[in-house]
Parts: sequence; C-alpha cells; structure tokens
Amino acid sequence: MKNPLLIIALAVTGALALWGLVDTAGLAAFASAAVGVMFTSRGWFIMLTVSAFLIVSIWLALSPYGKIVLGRDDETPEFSTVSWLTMLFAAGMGVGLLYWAAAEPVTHFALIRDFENESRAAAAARFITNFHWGLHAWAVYAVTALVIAYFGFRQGCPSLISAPIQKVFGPVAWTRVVGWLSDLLAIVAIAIGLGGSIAMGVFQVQSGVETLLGLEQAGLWLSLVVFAVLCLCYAPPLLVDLGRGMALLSNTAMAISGLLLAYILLAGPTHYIMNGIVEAIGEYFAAVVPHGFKTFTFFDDEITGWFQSWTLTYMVWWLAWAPFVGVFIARISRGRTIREFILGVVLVPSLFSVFWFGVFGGLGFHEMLRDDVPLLHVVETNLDNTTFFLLGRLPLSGLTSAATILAAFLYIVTSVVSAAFVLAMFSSGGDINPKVRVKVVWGVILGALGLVMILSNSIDAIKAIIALGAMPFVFIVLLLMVCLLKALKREDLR
Amino acid sequence: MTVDPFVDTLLNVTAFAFIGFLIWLYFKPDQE
Repeated sequence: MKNPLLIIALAVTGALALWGLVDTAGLAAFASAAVGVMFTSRGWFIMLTVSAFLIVSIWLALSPYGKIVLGRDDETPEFSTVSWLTMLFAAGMGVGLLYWAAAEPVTHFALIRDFENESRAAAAARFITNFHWGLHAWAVYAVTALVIAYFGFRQGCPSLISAPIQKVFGPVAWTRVVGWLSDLLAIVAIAIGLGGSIAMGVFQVQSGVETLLGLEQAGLWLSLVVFAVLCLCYAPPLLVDLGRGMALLSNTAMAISGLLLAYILLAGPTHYIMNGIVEAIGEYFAAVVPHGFKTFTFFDDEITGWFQSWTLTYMVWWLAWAPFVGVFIARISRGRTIREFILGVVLVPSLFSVFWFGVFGGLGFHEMLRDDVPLLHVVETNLDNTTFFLLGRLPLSGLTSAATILAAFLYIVTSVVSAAFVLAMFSSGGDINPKVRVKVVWGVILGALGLVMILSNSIDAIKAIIALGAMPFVFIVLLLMVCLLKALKREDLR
Repeated sequence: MTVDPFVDTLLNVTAFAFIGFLIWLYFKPDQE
C-alpha cells in the first residue's frame, strides 16, 4: 500500500457514510447514545480542556514567549494587519453563524424563561450564545493554529497534525503510532464535521427557497434538489484550480453577510440592538472565565441534557473544526508574533460574534418581547426558517432572503472545496499540492456524509454525529498543546 | 442520562491517566 493513511481514512469515513445511507436512524441513535455516555462521564474533562486552552492562550500572549515570531526571527507578516483581520473574520464566518444567528438565543430563551422572568431569561440566553461562539471556541482554534504555524514556519515541519508530536518527542515507536492516529482522527473529525455543515447549509437554503417561493415546508425532495445543485457547484473547483476564483466566492459570501448585518442594524430597532450589544459585552467579559468551568452539577436531567446537547456539543464541535480552520489561520499568520496572533485570533473574532448575535438576536428579542411576534413558535416548529422569518419583519425581505440563501450556498461550496483540499493534504503526507483525484475522492466522501446527515433530517442527530466524530480529537489537541509548550521551553528568549 | 458505573469509571480513569501522561510528558527531561 503506497499510502495506508489515505486508504484507511477513506475506508473509515466511507464506511460511516455507507452505514448512514443504509440505516440513517440506526446511525443517529448510535451516535446519540455514545455521545450521551461520553458527555455524561467526561463533560468535566471537555470543559476543563477548553478552559485550559483559553488560559494557556492568554498566558502565552502575556508571557515573554509572546515575542516569538511565527517564522524566522527577522520575518515580517505576510499580510497587512487589516487584511489579516479580515481573513480571520472569514475563517470564523460560515453557514453556522447564518443558521444560528437568531435561532440559538431564542431557543435558549425558550428554556430559561421557565425558570426566570423574561428580561433575565433573554440576558441569560444572550450570554450563553456568546459563550458558545466566543473566546473558548477561538482559543481552541488559536491553540491548534498556533501549533501548526509554530512548527510549520519556525521548525520547518510539514502541515500535519502528527508533525509536532514527532518533532518534539522524536521518531520513536509511540510517537509514530500516536502521530498516525492523530492524522487519521483529524481527517475523520473534519470529514464528519463538514458533512454536518453541508446538511445545515442545505436545510437553511431549502428553508429560504420555501419562504421565497411560498412553498409549505416542501420536505426532502427540495433538500435533495439543493444538495444536487451544491454537488454540481463544488465539483469544478476540485477538478481545476480556480486560484483567486475561490477567494472571490468566499469574499462575496462575506460581503453579503456584512451587508446583511449592517442592514438589520440600521433598518431594525437600532438603539435596542446597540443597547443589547453593549450590555452583552459587559456581561460576557464579567463572567466568561468562570462559566467555562460550569458543569451544572446540581441540576436535573432537563438542564444537564440541555448542557450536553448545546454547550458540550459546541465545544467538541470547535475541536472537530480546529485542524481545518487551524490550517487556514496558520497559513495567513506567517510572520506574526505569538502575542499578535493570540490577540488577533482569540479576541477579534469573539467580539465579532458578540456583535453578530447581538444584531440578529437583538432583532429577534425585540420582535418577541416588544411586538409579541410568535418567534418562539417558529423556532420550535421550523428552526431552519428563523432567520428568514425575522428578515420578513423588515422591508425588502425578498432581497435580503435571496442574499441570505446565496451567502449560505457560497459558504457551503467554499467550505467543501477547502475541506477537500485540507483532507487531501493531510492524507498525502502534508503535500501542499495534493493530487486532483485525491481531492475529488474527498469531495465525494464529503458529499456522501452530507447526504447522510440530510437524510437524518434532524439537527439533533447531526449534532450527535459530529460530536461522535470529534470526541477522540479532544485528546489530540491537548497533546499538541503540550508539544507546543515543550518546544517553547527550548526557545532562547534572549 | 444514567451511565453504567463500570463504563463511567473506565471513561474517567482514562481521562485521569491521559492528564497524568501529559503532565509527565511536559516535565520529562529532553533526551539529547
């Protein structure tokens, strides 16, 4: 076998896709049960891990190691700070933010208002949403990206998850085995995570099309049509290198999201939204670190179930995405110091998330609490439609809905193309120009996994399957962090 | 959700062991 990693990775993900296609409900039930056991027994471990990433990131930025350059000592950043920050936003943006923009805070609100009055429930829902998308998520990305950038640009390692382990602990038996497993688990986590993202994007596009065309919840056939169009769109970039064409697609999606954000802020209840955002920033930074250690020990099954299906799922989700986003963040950060890197990667996108959810969620809360709009009903009965329902409350809703559909579609196309590239790179020994046929095979596997998740037709099943794929990766990211800390100890800081 | 006590112990012990392994790796002297 020329490349056993590629073959085994394809076999594992292919088998999972096949299982899902043959017995979608069976896979979803297995994933939910396995993830339930893991989350119940190891919830504390996941929260401790993500909190450790945040604390280590802050410590690295403040410590003398912050001066270390991700590259040669005399190297300067490849991109200007403004374009670097813009690209970081692009890394953080994606179909998830569009999907959950208003749906998430309102879903949390629906639960919390059983225990608190409406205003406190809304504030708590806002905080928890920001917690899920904020500093902890970005600290997970930052640590992984920092490891890839540090070992890639400063120590000359290939862009592989296993490279730092072998570099720091030498090419002995256990590092070979653990390194090989790390590459495999990274591939599996990315592939499954992306499958889930495809499904979420397809549901969102489908719901938008239903709203625009006035179709009553069209069901599976429309999902499959959207999926087929998506496959047709992402196939050409896998076959031919479109170069800057891909960047153009991604920038268009980002520009649309930015315009939507600005439009909702200005056309919606501007002062209400801004009040909410300022309040959210204060609340968030006052409580974010202790909340990272919160495991809901003394609460009943309803709350611990919620904690597992939201907080723990998100944290594991970020870990699943970390190698994929990490490769991108690392690639654009050559020449930055560790201090600049942490500040840019952890703080700036987190603030952007607070702003994003502040605008969409702010409009949602305004409509619900001030105008008695039945948004809760929409979230409970047709979650995919939340964003479009809210856009319908503002003028020009046809245009904004069409723009949202386009942005969601472009995000999935660009994500699948870049994921197929990263997967092909990881499975070709870190080759930054992987073969076209390897990329195409990954494109097919990603499509099959996406189809499985679409057929499951349940966002909860999707979340469980992603968490299942990502779970083992928690251990790998922790090991990578130790590799980084150990390598930094050897640096001459004079 | 209730987890079988044996599975629960096993999952937790492996997590403890892994944390121990990481601490050992960090402090293990380099072999030149």
